[in-house]
Amino acid sequence: MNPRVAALQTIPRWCQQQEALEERLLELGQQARQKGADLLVLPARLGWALLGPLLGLSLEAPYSFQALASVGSLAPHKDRIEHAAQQTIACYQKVAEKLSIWLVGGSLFRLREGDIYHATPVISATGEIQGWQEQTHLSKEEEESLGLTPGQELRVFPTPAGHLGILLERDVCYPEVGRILALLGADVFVHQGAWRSNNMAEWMSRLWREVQANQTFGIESPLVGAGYQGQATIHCPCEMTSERCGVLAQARGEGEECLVAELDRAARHQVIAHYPILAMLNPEMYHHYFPSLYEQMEER
Amino acid sequence: MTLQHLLLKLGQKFLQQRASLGAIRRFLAQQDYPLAPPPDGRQTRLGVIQLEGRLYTHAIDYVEHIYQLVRQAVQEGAQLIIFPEDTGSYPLAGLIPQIERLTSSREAAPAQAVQEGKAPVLTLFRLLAPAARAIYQTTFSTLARSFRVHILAGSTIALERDGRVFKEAHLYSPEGKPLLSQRKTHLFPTEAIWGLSAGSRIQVAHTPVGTLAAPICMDHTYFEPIRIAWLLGAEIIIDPAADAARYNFWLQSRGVWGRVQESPAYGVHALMVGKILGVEFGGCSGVYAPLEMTPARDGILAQAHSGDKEEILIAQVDLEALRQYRHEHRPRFNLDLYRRYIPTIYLQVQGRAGGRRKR
Repeated sequence: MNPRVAALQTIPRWCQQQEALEERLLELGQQARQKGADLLVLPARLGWALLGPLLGLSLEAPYSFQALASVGSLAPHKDRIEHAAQQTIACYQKVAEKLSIWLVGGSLFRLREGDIYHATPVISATGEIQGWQEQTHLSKEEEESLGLTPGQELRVFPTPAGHLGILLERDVCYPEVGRILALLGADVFVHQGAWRSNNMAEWMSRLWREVQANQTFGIESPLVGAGYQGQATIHCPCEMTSERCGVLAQARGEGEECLVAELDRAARHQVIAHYPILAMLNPEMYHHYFPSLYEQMEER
Repeated sequence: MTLQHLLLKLGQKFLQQRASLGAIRRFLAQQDYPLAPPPDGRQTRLGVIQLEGRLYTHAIDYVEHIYQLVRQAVQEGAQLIIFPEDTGSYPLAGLIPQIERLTSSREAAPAQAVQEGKAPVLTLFRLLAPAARAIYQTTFSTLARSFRVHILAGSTIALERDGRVFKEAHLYSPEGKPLLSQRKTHLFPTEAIWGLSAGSRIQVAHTPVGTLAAPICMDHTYFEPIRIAWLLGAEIIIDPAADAARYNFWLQSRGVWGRVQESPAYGVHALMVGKILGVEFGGCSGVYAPLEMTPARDGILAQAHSGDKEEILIAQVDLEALRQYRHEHRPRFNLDLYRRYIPTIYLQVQGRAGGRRKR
């Protein structure tokens, strides 16, 4: 049986109480459950909600990187980060368990071995944490102003919806990430985005491009409102859709919406059988150039 | 020497005579050549040839058509002229007598037999290679030198001594010298079935019209060759292509348009259109750039009007603006991550795939 997956697009809000966050997520997630989804993906940064007020931001402050950066580096606030992360994760676990749905939680700041990472948790339908994907490509500001550390590992998560590979925020702009995940066995890419603009070319240049390049499914869950623009979208290889557009479903408006679609695994396998992109790679050539060319570029 | 080898040599000799290079040289010597505007290193005017593919039974007709296209592009100010994949091969297959009969089978017409790998395409390529290559080199080298223009002449056939066959694109300087020779590094499954071989290097050419790279057609489905070209400094990444399909916006956007979003550069897509041996080619040639560098933020600087007719697309690209953009939007690579996975992960997967890999 084919899995059904849900992508949520939602307006972010700072939140003082764990219970309030849980209530809101349950309300949003309920739609996914009612539509028969096996997996629900929340947008990037949704897990920041409890941290802002803990750092002294007012509930009316912009829900943004800049607002967090106005506090300064996160390094002196590790206790608060840890506290907010624990509360947020507990909240995600309850939502997953109550709705009996697999959950890709909204990204949050996570402490690991003394460093701070921007990361996404994957939680089973029984509320167990299956693991984390840390963002591997950071902006200069994220590294220098917030004091974040880039992740150094890419993981694939087996779920009822398929083998998930997570491309958090700007990781989607680096095709190396998608390719590594696909070669590790990911057949469903998840992109959690927080973008300031979103025309057709922009969403095509992000997860749509990665899905086509690796012949996976794609679940895109963006923030909307509060200065963010995006459209929740479920992507697939172009050949699976009648107009060859590669979009199984897409949110219509700019408000909160829960989008659900079925992933037809057999149809995807048929596309791959016709043209197996990953079987037509040229490893000998890559071996000649990688990673030395990257290193030479960095030296320049 | 086996009988088969002897027959191949005889056939090659016959086609080389049929190509009549002397007549081609005489024809080209008699034409007039307005000069292309010299490049200033800051902006480059491109002439993208959306070539109608057809079979030529006489090489001189092919040469005359190519001459007319280059002349028109130069008259419109082009400093770099780009032809599609297979410009120097498929149209010249018409030199082979009874090519339609040779490519059909009892069960299938030429188009179907070619696309399903039932036609002896590799043998025909081997037969045609010396003649096609000679016509291609003579024509494009002479035109580049005479018009004083850079020409990326699409691809022709490269035949190695050991019998391997590659698709290979050449860039000619305004002196008529070859500046770059790029073999296709990622084959379409049908080409793999035919028995073509894939190249293993990416070249760039530093020229007054920009630093150029020209991976061929399916290479642009893969980020790797384009990333290599970009890391080597390519500013204009050319996609000479021949897609055996009707134009579709979405399918076409999976190629060079997407690649230049990942590896910020100008992208040029030059496509073949029309029918050869019943195989329909289509696509809308275009010039692309990172979204932020295009007026409508759609990544498109210019695009052909049709997806099935011969056209010359003229577009100007601002190299200075690109250099500025690249300076301001320098990617922040994660080298430790890449060292951990690349290229090992490819080799592991290749090992697992074993005999399933078709390259």
